[in-house]
Order: sequence, then C-alpha cells, then structure tokens
Amino acid sequence: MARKNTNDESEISTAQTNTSDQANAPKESTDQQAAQQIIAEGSATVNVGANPANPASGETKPSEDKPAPPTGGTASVEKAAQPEEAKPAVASTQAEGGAKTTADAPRSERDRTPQEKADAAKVASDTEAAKEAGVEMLKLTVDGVDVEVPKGTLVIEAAFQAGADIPYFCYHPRLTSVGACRMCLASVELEMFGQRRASIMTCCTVPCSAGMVIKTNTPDVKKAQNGILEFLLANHPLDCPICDRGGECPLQNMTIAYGPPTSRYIEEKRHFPKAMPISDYVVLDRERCIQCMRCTRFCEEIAGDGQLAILNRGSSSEIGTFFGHDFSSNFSGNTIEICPVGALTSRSYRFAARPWEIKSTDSICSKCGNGCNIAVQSRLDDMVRVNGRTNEEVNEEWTCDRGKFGQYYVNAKERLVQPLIRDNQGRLVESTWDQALIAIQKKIESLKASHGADSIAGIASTRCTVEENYLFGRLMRGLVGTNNIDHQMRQYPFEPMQTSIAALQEFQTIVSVGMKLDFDQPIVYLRVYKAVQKRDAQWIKADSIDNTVADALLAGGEKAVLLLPHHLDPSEIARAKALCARTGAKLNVLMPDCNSWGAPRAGVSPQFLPGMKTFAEAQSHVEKAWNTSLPVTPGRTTAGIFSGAIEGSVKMLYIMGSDPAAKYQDPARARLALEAAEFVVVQELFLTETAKYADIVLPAASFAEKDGTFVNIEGREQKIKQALKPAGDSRPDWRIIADLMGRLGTPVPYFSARDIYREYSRAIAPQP
Amino acid sequence: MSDQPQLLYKNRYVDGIAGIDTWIQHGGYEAFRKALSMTPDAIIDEIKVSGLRGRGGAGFPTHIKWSAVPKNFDQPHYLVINADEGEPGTAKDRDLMNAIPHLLVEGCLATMVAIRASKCYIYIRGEYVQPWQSVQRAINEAYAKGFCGKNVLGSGLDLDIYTHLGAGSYECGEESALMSSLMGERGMPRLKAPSAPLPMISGVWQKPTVVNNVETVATVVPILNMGGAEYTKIGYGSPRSRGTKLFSISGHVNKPGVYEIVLGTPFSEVLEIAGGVRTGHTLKTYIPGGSSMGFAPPTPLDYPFDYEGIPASTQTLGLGSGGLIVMDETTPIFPITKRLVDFYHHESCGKCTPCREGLNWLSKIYQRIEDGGGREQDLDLIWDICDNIQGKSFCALGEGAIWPVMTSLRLFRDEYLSYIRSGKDLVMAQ
Amino acid sequence: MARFDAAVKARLDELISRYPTKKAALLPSLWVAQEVYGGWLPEDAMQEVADHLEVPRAEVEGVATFYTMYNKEPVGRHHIEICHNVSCMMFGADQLIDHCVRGLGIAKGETTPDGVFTVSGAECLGACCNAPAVQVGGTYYENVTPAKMDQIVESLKHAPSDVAVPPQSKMPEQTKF
Repeated sequence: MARKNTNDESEISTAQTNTSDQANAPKESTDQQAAQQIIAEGSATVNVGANPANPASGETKPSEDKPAPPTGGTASVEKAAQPEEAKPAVASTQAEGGAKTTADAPRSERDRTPQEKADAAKVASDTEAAKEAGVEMLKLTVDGVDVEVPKGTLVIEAAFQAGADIPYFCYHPRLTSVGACRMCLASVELEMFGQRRASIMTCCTVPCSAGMVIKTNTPDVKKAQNGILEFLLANHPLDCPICDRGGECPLQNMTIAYGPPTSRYIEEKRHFPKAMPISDYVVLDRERCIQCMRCTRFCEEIAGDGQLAILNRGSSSEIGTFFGHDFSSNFSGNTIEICPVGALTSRSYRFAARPWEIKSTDSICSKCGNGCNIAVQSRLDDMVRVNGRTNEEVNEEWTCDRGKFGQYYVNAKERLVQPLIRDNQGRLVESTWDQALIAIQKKIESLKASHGADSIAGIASTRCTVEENYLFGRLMRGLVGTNNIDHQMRQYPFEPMQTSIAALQEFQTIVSVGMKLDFDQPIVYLRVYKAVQKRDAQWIKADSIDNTVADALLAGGEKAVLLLPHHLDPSEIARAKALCARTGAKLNVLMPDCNSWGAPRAGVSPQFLPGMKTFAEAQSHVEKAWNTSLPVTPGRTTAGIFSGAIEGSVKMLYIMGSDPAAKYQDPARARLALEAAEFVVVQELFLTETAKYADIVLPAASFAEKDGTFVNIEGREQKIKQALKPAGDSRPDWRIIADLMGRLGTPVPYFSARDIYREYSRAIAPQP
Repeated sequence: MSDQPQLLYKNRYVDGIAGIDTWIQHGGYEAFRKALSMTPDAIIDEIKVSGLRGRGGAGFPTHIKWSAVPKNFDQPHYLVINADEGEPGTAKDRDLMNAIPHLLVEGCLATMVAIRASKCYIYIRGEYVQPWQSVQRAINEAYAKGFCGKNVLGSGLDLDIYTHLGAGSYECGEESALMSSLMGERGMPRLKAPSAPLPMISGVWQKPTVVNNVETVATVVPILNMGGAEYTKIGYGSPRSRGTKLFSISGHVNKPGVYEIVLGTPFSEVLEIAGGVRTGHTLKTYIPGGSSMGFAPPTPLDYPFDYEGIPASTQTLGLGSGGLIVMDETTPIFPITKRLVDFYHHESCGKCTPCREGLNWLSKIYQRIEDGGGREQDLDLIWDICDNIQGKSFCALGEGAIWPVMTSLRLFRDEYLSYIRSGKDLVMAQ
Repeated sequence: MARFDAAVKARLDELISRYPTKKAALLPSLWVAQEVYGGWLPEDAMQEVADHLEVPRAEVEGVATFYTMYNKEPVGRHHIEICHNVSCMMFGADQLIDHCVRGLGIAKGETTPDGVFTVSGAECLGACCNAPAVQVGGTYYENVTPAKMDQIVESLKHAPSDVAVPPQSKMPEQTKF
C-alpha cells in the first residue's frame, strides 16, 4: 500500500484559507538589462566595476592576461604537491586516493546531505509555483541538458533542475545570495555588455538569461573547485571524528566529491578556543567556521534580531554575539541546521549520536498551536534532537527554540511510568493497569447507579490528539452518559483564522495586540517579519484594541490583518470582529496549544458533537454512528464542572492531559474543586499539580510516543507519528480510553489511532 | 615639463587658493555656472565629447556612468565621491583635496546637475583628517556663497554636499564596498552585474547612484570651462586616452611628487618630470599605477603612458590610479612583495574564500621564507595559490593582491631563490 | 554607565539627519562615541550607539571591528602611526618604527606606561611622495628621519591630543532628510 507522507495528508479545513501564495516574485530587478543596454551602446569593450585595481570586470579575466609562468620550474599543480609534504586533507574519508569519486558524474542522491535535498526541494517547489503564476520562461543549457526555467531563477537553481551537481556552501534558497564561499563556480556563457563570452562565475548570484550555456565540469571549473576547497580546509581543524556534524556535513561531503586529495598547507592553522557555548542551546566553534554568513543572514533576514554578526575582518573574521553575550534569539536552533560545517552545534545533541545511527520520524511540534513540521530524531529509543521539516504552508523549514530544544521532557526521568492509586493512608502508590482501570470502572458504575451519570465530568485537553479527544468524548457521552465534558482552561470563543499562516506575509499592515509574537506564536512572527522585511509592511504592536489599532486597520483596508490572542475578553474579540468587518481587514485569533482546534472538533465541548456540530445538527447522525442514544441534559463547561464539584453535585472528575490546578484561569478555584471532588482520575506524563490531587494517576505517552492528529491554529490537520516506545509502562491516551471503554461494556476494537481517526471521520461526515 | 598643460593644477600653487574668494578670482565656479545654464543631457554630451574616463583606476568612460542614471527618476538619488584613496603609491587625491578643495566641490556640483542628483556624499578615508577639514571648509564656504543649499543661484535646484569619513579600510575604495560603508555597514563589496543591478540603477539605499573618483569630477571643471572638443586635443597617444591626469610619483626618483601630466606622454619623459631615477642609480623595476598593477621590467620605457599605451609585455594591469613607484637597483624585491602581501592580507575584508584564505596562506608562506624556512617548491605553490585566487575572488582586491606577487615572481625569481637558499636577499648580498 | 548626554545625542541626531536611514550614521556616530569614551570603543560605547541608532548591537560591533581606526583598546594620548607601506618602506619606515619604539621603551603596537604614546605601523597614508610619513592624531609629518622623529616625540610629550574627531566642525544649514 502506498504510504502518503505527512504533507500530503495535511489539509486545511477553514474555508477562508486559500493557499495560493508563494507566487514568488522574480528575484532580480529587470532594470539591469536596461542599464546593460546603455552600457553596451556606449562602448563594446569597456570594463565596469570602477576599482583602482582591476580593469577587468571583477568576475574573471581572459587567461591571456596572465603573466607567463615563472621561468625555471613550470611545475604543474600536481607536481607541486610533493608526496613528502602531502598531508591528509580529511582524516579518514580521504585516506585512499582510489576511493575518491571523480566528479565527472553528478553525485548520487544518496551522497547528498539532508540540507542539500531540502534546498533542491524548495527550489523545485518555487519553480513550480512560478510556472503556475505564469512567469516568463527562459531556455538555457546546463552541461548539454536543455532546461526551461522561470525568469528570476538563479543559475545554480537551473543546474539543480538539469540534474547537474554544483557544490555550494553559502547559497541557501531562503536567504539572499551573497556569493561569498565561491564554491559554486561554473563556466557561464552569457551576453553581457554587448559581448557574448564564457567566464567563471558564481552560480548562486547570477540570474538565468535566455540562451545561457553553463558548464559545470570543464577543467577550469574543476581546478577552481579544487582550489576553493583547499583554501577552505587550509585553516579548518579537520576534527571530523569529534565533530557532531560529521556524517551530514556539507564541507565533508563536498571535499570527498570535489576536494583535493591532499593539502599543500603546511603552515600553522588559525586557532580559537574550541566549543564555546554562546547560549543555553548553541555551541560555537570558530575554527570550523567557513564564513558562509548563513547564520548571520538568517538572524538578519529571517529572525530579524541580528544577534549574530561577523566580527573583525579578513582572515581574523569570526562569527560572534555582541561581546560574547548570550545568543538569546528565539530561533537560534535554525542556525545549527543551516550551518554547512560544525561551527554551530547543539548543546543538547552534543556527542549524543552520529547521524547514521539516527532514526528520524516525521512529526508535528506540540509546543504551540503553529503546528511546525518537525522530525523527531532518536537513537535507541532516546530522543536526541528535533529538526525542522519543510512545509511551505506552515513553517517553511524553520523551528523555534522551544520546538527544537523544549522537547527533551520526553526523555525525562521524572516521567510517570506506572499507574498510581491512592492508598488508604492517602499516598499515591504504584499499581498495575488492571487494578487502576478496574477501580475507575467500578467508581463510574457505582456513581452512575447512586447519583446518575451527570455526577461524573470529564476534562479533555488541547494537547491530546484529535483521536484521543474524540474517544474521550465518546466515552463520556456514549458510555458514561453525560454531556459534562469540556477542554477549555478559560472561556474563549471559537473564532477561525481568516487567513492562513502563509498568507500573512502578503499583508501591508499587520497589527498584533497583547502578544510577544516571537515567543507566543513564533512561526506567525516569522511570516510577519517576512512581510516587514521583504514587502516593507507596517507592523503595529499594540497593548489593547485602541484608536491606533482602529486607525491602522482603517488605513490598511483589505491589506490589513489583525492578530489577537485567544485569551482576550470575548467581548473585545467581538468588538474586533465588528471592526474588521467594517474596515475589510482580516481577523486572526490565535489559539495557544497544539490541538486547540482539534479538541472542539473532536467534540469535547459541552455544546459540540464531533465536527463542532450542535445537537440539533448532528445528534441523530452521531447516535447512529455510535449505536447508542446520547444524553440530552445540557453539559457543564469547565467552570460549571468546578462549581458542581465544589457544591457537591459533581462527584468524579476524569481529567485527560490537562493541568487545571496550574493552568486554569483561576487555579485556586480549580484546586478547590479537585479537593472537593470525591474521585479524581488524571492521565498525565508527569505528576503535575493536578495529578497530586488524583485518586488514580494513569501514565500517558508523550506526543513522540504515539500516532495521532493535531489541528493547528489555522485549522490544518497534521499527523504525528510514533518515534519512540512509550516510557516505562505508560500508554497513549487513546489506548487508555479504549481499554476503559472495553471494561465499561462496549468492546470496541481500536488497534491504532488510525482506526479511531477513521471512525471520527465517519462521525463528522456530512449527512446525506 | 613646461609643455605639460596644467588644467587641474593651473592654480595649484596660488596663495590662498583653498579659500573661496581666491578661487573665484581665478575663475572658480564658472564651470558650475555654465553647467547650470546647460541641460543635464548637454553636460553629459560635453563629457562624452571630451572622452573623459574615470581617474580612480578602472578608466571607465564617465559619460556612460552618468547617462545610465534613469532620466525621469523623481526621488532623491546620489552622487558619491570616492575619496578613499588607499592604493599604496597613490597620493594624488590627498594633494588635490588639501590644496584645491574648491575644484572638487565645483566638480561635484556640476556633476550633480548632470545626473540630476540632489545629494552628494564625499567619502573620505578616515586617515585623511586634513583633507577632510579642507574639503569641509570649502563646502561650508560654498554654502555661504549660495553655491550649495536650496535653490542654488536661483536655478531651482537643491544641491547638498556632505562629507563622510571612513575609518580605516582599504577595501572601501572598491566602489560597492564604499557604498556598503556609506550605508553604515561593514565595508564589504556587493554583488555586481550580471548578479545585481548596476549602481546607476540601484545603488546606495536602492536609489540610482553614481560613484566617481575625486579626480574625475575635478576634471569635469576644466572640461566644462574649455569645452569637450578642446579637451580632446590634449593628449599624445591613444584617441581613447585624452586630457591630463594626476600622477603621484614616489620612490627612487630625484623629485618625487604629484604631477599633472598629459596622457600619452612617453614614460621616459614622465620619469624625467620627476627628476629621473636617483642620481647614480639605475632603474630596476617600477609599479606603474598603484601596487595592484604589479611590477614592470625596466624596458621598454619609450611607450605612451596612458590607458592603452602600457605594453602588454610588461604584464602589469595598467595605468591604475596613477601611483607610480620607481625602484632602483638597491631595492630588494622579496621584502617589498612580502610587505604588499601582508598589506592585502591585512585589508582583505574576509567575505570570499579565495581572498580571505589565499592571502592568509600567502602571507604565512612569505613569513616562513623570510624566517629561513623557505623551500624551492614554495615558488610553484605561491604561483598556484595566485592562480586559484585569480578570477575567483569576489572583488578586485584579490586580483590586485596577486598581481604584484605573480609579476615579482616572474621578474625576480632568482631573488626569491637567493632568499630561500641563503636566507639573504640578492641585493644585500651584493 | 551611559555617557551619552543630551549634547552628545544632539550631535548624533544631527548626523542622522544627513542620511536617509539611521543606520547610515553608524560610522560617524562611532567616531563621536570614540571621542566621548576617551579614544576607544568599549562595550558600553557600542551599546549606546546601537541603542541610539536602533541598529542590532552585534552589527555595531561587527562594523566597529571591521575598521582599523576604531580602537578596541585604550590608546595613548598621542597615537603615532608610522606608514610602513612600500614607498615609505623604501625610505626606511621599518627602521623608523624600530627607532621610535626603542626610544620610548615599548614594543610596536604598545602604549607607554604613562599613557602618552602608542606607536603602531600604518598602511599607506597617501603621502608616498614625501616618504616616510607619520601621522599623529590629525597631523601629518612627512620626510621623517629618526632625528625628526625624536623631535616630534619630544614636542608632543606635554602637548594635548589633537585628535580631530570627525565630524566636529559645524555643518551649515543643510537640507534634512
């Protein structure tokens, strides 16, 4: 059976989110052609680049200009490298000269780093988008292969498409080209200043023009690639055996494919202190740095905080933070991923694994509602790191530091690994699943008999999957027989976002109210900053919806968008909605958690059945699907449940994945309720504040240990996949609920989260 | 020397010529008034007729730069003057700015009219405190007389000139690096055509920008005064090298100094203007136009000294910035070249790999040879490193850095070998 | 300790007014900061410039460390910079440097214990025709011989610094952005 990948499955369900952005504007100005024409008219042989030193045009110089080789020894390059001084360039990988691949054929897909593959994929998707947008196409030739590319494509990107292999370090499809590393040199024949000639140019800076002829494997190009790599390795420490990048390092890879077999460099190498931590997350090794400026460009162009800069100059240049202060960016982890060497590495991943021992599992970040696509990477059932995964619609390829470094709780020793039952001395003691589930089953049955089903209430979670919440809803409504079920830790309206995350970068006026956007909604922030950086958008940060906000929205009209946090007073949100309706601005209320939309959709609100349908809409359909009758007494909200518990009408609280004792809008009241309730069941990862009140604590599996579905702030469903075995005896929440349902008398066979999702899909399917 | 017409230096030695009143008494600001009476296109035509080429080193035809500025661009755009003179051996702009600052100011104003720019930044290198003071004083005087400021001389044009001081970076003399530096960034070069629009289309602050050398805009003044056609009559050699140029002649000549010399004057005569090679000594080698141009052999000497005239057989890069350094037979070449390698290594901005790493490597090899650890194969290694830098560096600094190395190695290989074999240079040994 | 008072800030604002962006005033502002902080740029100086110009502070450090004339360490009251590039070298610049530092009892690049003199080599000062050249603060000395060097040092021993920190001259009323 063909397995779809996560991106294919992810789909957006809010009606407004049209995903036809990404219409990438041509990268280069068209004005230059005009100017070149002027130049060409003026003189056919002039040189540009008014520099005192060079009458040639900067890029290259016809070889006739070279002085003749020195008299005496006209040794060739190879001869100059005498075996006596020969020094291995890369410690182990290069030891056998014969093993070195000749770069005549492009490297196979297998030889490319994940980074390169991601870059090529990004270029391919951009090209596709440009084609769809009807951008003018240009025909050119790369190594004899004819390709057609949209105007604005860089030569290196055309080469990707032609299947040619161009080595590079500083080029990155999401950053502006700088042409710094000079690795992507190729022979480019083009018409410039009225003359057609071939010269060695950096492919990452030159935009394609019609009729270009590009050659990536002439002897000149080979010599250039060889020379550049020899330069790059001259001061590089070659400490690959102890470098975390080893095995997935572009420098290492390119050296194998293009580098010289030996180095002629016998001088003292440049030295800096090794492994200097520059923040809690990032370690800097300046000896390994090749000055590609990817990290500094990321900080400047993508994250917008400019925290890393190149200090000093020339061969003393180094990457650094301001006087060694902490690299306190909220996006610092990305610089580790885009670093083409081991200069920026992760403190938490340090010496934890080698890339080839790692199992990588596609997943979705659980830290906020943005739904970043991530890869959970594990070794021997330990999570070793989290990397970003490309999804153009959501996080492009970035992650925030919380998403990247905040997931290690999965490995924590403090995780609950056994069910706990409160003994008669009031202590929580370890027990077995059977004991715990039987105790819960008995309690439910006895309370139903003595006080009716409505004496039982359930609180689900915005952090559990759609499947788990759905099953929890079915348990409470279908088997226990009560509508007392909610998931909100404070009352907020369900206001779908009116734009997608990706569409935010298209707005001219962006107003955010009452949020520290880069921390609260990091990926939304990146889109907003992109609008500011690339489109000169205006970003207004307000504390409340005041006149400034109203004026900005009015002025911005349809090109304006208002971003609100979910926790504003519902009346404020209503006011904002009216304001936006009047001005034509779009309103986006941003939900906090990874499944804030999935929980209500799964039907764990008192007023909603699965699919966020009212009883009037869906009661009969759901009754048929569940083969049972639904309770009709209106359910209690979280506030109602706590009031009920305090006054005594709610006897039992079943809490899955929520921590009201700490997170409820009035934690004291939640504690009062937990204290008052006769019986409290909590499913959790840790012994939380809430769990401390429980009579039974059930150890749950983390997001990395189960399959399921999250719905992000824009309503996009995305799949998480099991990367690790659940810690100890813990179980996924859906498995716990399914077991309990079995005990309560309806043996419903659920073997996987997928089974539950299928049933959920049927339950929310529109009725004929 | 008397037959050398003095256009720029006409009043160079007049007392008080740095002051605006004396300057006006000697015909100052006439060219500017003339420019105001002409259309921008007419000024550009005049410059085109004159055949003026950039005096900063590249010799790019000035009118082409000017006419590339979009005609109907109604937003502010800029004239930037490159006064970041740092090429070793070059001292002409400093002399000009010190002695006749109004020539520069007037040239700026006329150029601004031609390219319709309303703002001009004069980027002066940080070391040039006195020239900066001199130019700023001249600008202040020009404001006081109404040549600068709002509605200049009733023309309806607003013309502002600002000085901007560098802070010690040779690389900022490179046009695009200078623009980076002016915008408050590290002085690193920017992408050029075909990778990016020309500065005349999108330069500083993404606005059309013309970057000209001090001497280039200064030359605009005599051209406007005498007419482009008259200007082309000056010159001996190539039809494409017309007019006069300032040369700073240093080293082993009897009268080192800055001289205004007609382009195409035979090189031997140029040497005579500077008093000839030190009495009692013979010419060993010379650098024709700033250290990046490389070492030239002592023969031939009878060629026209202009943009085209320097024979290919010298294998130098050409006229450059006009910084002629003359060396007689007492000059040891290896230490001089080492000095230059260290200089370029020190000034490399570090942006691109070949220049950053290649020059670092070269510098270490030269040090090792000087310290007595040289090997004969180092010479081939040096040559190949140069070859790996050549044509691969981001800007011309890398190119300029290897040229003196390659030419010295070609001409004076025996001196290198002597250093390597005996630890002494050949000159000292004799 | 912030040292940018209202007067300094007014100077910076005047500089900013000459350019279309605040960042463009970075180089002149660093000159002002170097003056205010006594001839060099400690961390606080760069921080204050960054704050006033609203430029990321790491970028300010990147710029300040790129240019050699911004001192990253305290220098003497008189900073003697002796050109050692080709033309000056041919006329004994290296010997001049040796002579000068030996006379002051320090090494090249160092500052005398009394904080009066710092001696360093400089790249081409553009005085090639009058080699060797020496720059002290804002003053050039040309055709310097060891004897002349001694005189210069002697004359400066008790003289105040003449560092002309640009831009300090009053600018005429110019159009502001």
